[in-house]
Amino acid sequence: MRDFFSLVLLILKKDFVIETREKLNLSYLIILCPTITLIISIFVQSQAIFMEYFLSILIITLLVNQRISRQEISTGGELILIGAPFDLSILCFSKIIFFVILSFIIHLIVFLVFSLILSMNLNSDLIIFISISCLFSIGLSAILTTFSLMLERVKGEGQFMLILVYPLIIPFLVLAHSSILSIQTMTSMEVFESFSFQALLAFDILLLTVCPILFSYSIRR
Amino acid sequence: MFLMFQKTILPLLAIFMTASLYMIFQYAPKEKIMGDVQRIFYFHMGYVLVFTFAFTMNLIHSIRFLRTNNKLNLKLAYIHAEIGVVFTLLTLVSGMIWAKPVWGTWWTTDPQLTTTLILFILYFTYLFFHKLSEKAGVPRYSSIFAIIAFIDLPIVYISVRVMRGISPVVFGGKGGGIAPEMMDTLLVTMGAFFFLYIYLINLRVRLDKT
Repeated sequence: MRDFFSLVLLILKKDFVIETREKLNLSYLIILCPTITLIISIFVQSQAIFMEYFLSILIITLLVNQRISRQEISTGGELILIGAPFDLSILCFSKIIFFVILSFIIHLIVFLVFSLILSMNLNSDLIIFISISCLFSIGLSAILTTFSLMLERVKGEGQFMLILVYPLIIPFLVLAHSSILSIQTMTSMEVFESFSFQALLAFDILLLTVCPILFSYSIRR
Repeated sequence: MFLMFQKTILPLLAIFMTASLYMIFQYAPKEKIMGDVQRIFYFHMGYVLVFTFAFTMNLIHSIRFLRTNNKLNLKLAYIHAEIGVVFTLLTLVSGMIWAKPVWGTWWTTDPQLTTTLILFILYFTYLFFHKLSEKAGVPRYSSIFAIIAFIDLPIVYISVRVMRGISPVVFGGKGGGIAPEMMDTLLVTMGAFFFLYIYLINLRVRLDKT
């Protein structure tokens, strides 16, 4: 277990070193987040501010995710760390964690843009809102990162196959949508105890466990 | 496994299906409020049973394929998904036919309806994903897709009880809310649809061999 986390930290450190040196993901996010947020805020009525926020996060996440796995691509088209002498579930898990951290940056930028242009006022719902946002991002990251890592090895149809993965996130959207709706009608404790919130949490735990294991199985020949 | 029962399935299916049709239209009482349209419910539940079995078998064969790399499991997983998708579509269509005279609308955003539609989209996508992954030389990917897609199935069942919508709960905590004659008819119909499922799987496997 100790080795597992030290290897995860090592891969994460590598990703952060590359990120601080090249700043590619960050510049990508700084351009993409306000653009998408502004586009959505223009077309959706401002009464549905929570929905606008989540819609922005969802679209940005789908677009950004494809970048993550590309960092591991070598000139031959194979993932650089595929031949590494350790369990590949570690690689997948660290990539998921890296993407979750990037998701928090996405949330931060989108939140700031929304606060500026629409005077987003959350008051006492802030903790529950952040909890739902985090759960939503973790599940989304687990599914998308696993599949984009897998599909980077597929030439030609890879991008199309990634679009076919999108239906897998619909259950997440339904649960997140139901949780967000309950923010406006329930107290914080009631939201925490609601089925949608607990199912979202259960989904996250399940996916964080299952996706890295499945990834290591997918690479075996 | 199912191929062992190949010769006994057809007579069993014929007996159960005839009994089921007799019970649905003669034995089961007419529902007081909904009238005769309620009889579609027995078929509706039969379809649900078939897709539940089909998707569970799809999951089992997908896990087996990942562990053993035996192509037969991959093929069987695909066949079960095909049958499952057809019966999920039948569930949705029969539900709509039932809903129109009862609720006055073909479709509503009831949690159970929505999650069943999601299930249909997921496995319909799986069929495409399977073909593409085989073409790309990475058949294992479709098994991984199937395992993650299966996570949605329990939500369909839980949603009807927890996220209370307008869909009825048949097998509730106190034995459900239907008359004993209706329950007998339902059980016989579900038996008939179980044999129909095994028969269809047999037929599809034979078709694949030829």
